[in-house]
Amino acid sequence: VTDHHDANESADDWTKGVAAFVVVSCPRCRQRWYLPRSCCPACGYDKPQHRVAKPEGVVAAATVVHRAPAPFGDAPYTIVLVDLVDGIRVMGRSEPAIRPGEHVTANFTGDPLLPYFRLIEAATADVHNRERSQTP
Amino acid sequence: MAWISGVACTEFGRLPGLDAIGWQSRAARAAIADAGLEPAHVDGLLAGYATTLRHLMPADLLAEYLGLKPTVAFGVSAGGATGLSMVATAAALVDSGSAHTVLVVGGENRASGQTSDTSIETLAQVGHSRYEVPLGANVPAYYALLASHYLHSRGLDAASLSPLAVQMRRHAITTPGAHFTTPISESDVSSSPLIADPLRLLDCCPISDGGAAFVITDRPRGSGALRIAGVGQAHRHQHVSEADLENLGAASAAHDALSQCGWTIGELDTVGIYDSFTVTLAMLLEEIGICERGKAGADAAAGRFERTGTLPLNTHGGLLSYGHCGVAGGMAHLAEVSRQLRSSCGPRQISGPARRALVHADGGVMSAHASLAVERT
Repeated sequence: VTDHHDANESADDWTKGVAAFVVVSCPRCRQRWYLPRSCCPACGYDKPQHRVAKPEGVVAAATVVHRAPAPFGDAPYTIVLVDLVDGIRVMGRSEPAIRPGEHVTANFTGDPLLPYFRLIEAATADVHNRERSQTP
Repeated sequence: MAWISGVACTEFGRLPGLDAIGWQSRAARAAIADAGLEPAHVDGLLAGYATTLRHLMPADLLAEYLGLKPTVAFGVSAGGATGLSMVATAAALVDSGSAHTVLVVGGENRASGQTSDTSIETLAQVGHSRYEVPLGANVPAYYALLASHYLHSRGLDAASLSPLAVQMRRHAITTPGAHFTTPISESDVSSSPLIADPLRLLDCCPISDGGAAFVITDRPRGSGALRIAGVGQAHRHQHVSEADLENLGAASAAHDALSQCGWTIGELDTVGIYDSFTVTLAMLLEEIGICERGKAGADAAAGRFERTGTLPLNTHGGLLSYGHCGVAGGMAHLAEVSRQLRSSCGPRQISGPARRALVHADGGVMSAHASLAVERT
């Protein structure tokens, strides 16, 4: 856990070339968020805490982009919104044919570095679910 | 009390020849004339942003061009909700006595003034510059994510949205000035090329040129003034990553507008609802409470939104078929309901009474919401 008193800069995460999602939380009101801010969007407290989030969660929405402007000439590619187990929603790339409700885990790949989700096998996901339910 | 006294909407389409100021000027002059006024009467000017203009001071720029000397003038930028936000602000300006005659303008050469790729890249910037855009996300992709959630949460397949695109086209076929007028079927929609799955080409609005303008006054002017009976806005998020997908702000904005005049949804004679994509229209219709959850497409298929239906919707053809030129695209719905309330639509006139209407627009990724209740007194 690190304190960032400065700023609307994020802690080191994939947008800075570090293979991680970072969850930001408010030590005062317990609000959690993802997009960087200098102050808590719920209570305004200005000393949020940052920590690396577990890159696992459930797909909230998925799309395969077939038509993209020049800088993203690698279409088709898949974009997902994932509700991470740490309580934040993140956007990432993923393997194709991912559907809402499925359990996924991310690694970070490419240059520039991007989060890339893939399906967790059903059996593995069950284990993770049990572990999660035992976590206070 | 605020009145919509002047109404103008140009033809939309790929129509080279005018730049952004050219479209704005054309719409503005027509709206002033429609209100039976002269440019010298205008003492307030609100101008929407234009992606092909990128000017810091769009209202002062337009005022100089038109020879206006307003005492209040500023640009407004709230994505697709800009037009209705400007009308709501104009109503507040005349209600407060800050101005008597406020010109509200949008327009640009979005189709012919830049490439499609430039438009898509510019619009993608409503996403987060570090956490969304670098992933290759663009506006169709953001709305495709909404569609993925919408279809999954309601147990529907992508084809369930197709009737909305077909209905918009059916309206546009007989609307002078519409961008697209070739008839389409549900199978045309569901077999059109994938843009961002589950959205296909015919689920998406085109990029058009065009303009629209209104003159908002503190007393009825001209021969067709309509009363602004209620306004509502909601701004809950910017980025889809932080959106509450089941409570976007549309219901709140529409409820505020309707509660000011005491109307219910069932008392509306026609509606104009933002339809940048089929899913946009479905989500807004359902969150506002015009359709039951998951039933927007089925309601369209059943003919509810026809001009002869129980609730005529976007009778000009909407963004999906009349076209979308940015700020003016979101104003065209209000122009159309205004013309319906004036009973001036000729063969396009809705068959039932036309006294009360609701219009709603969203900007960004369901980020900015603006609703207006409008009445012919």
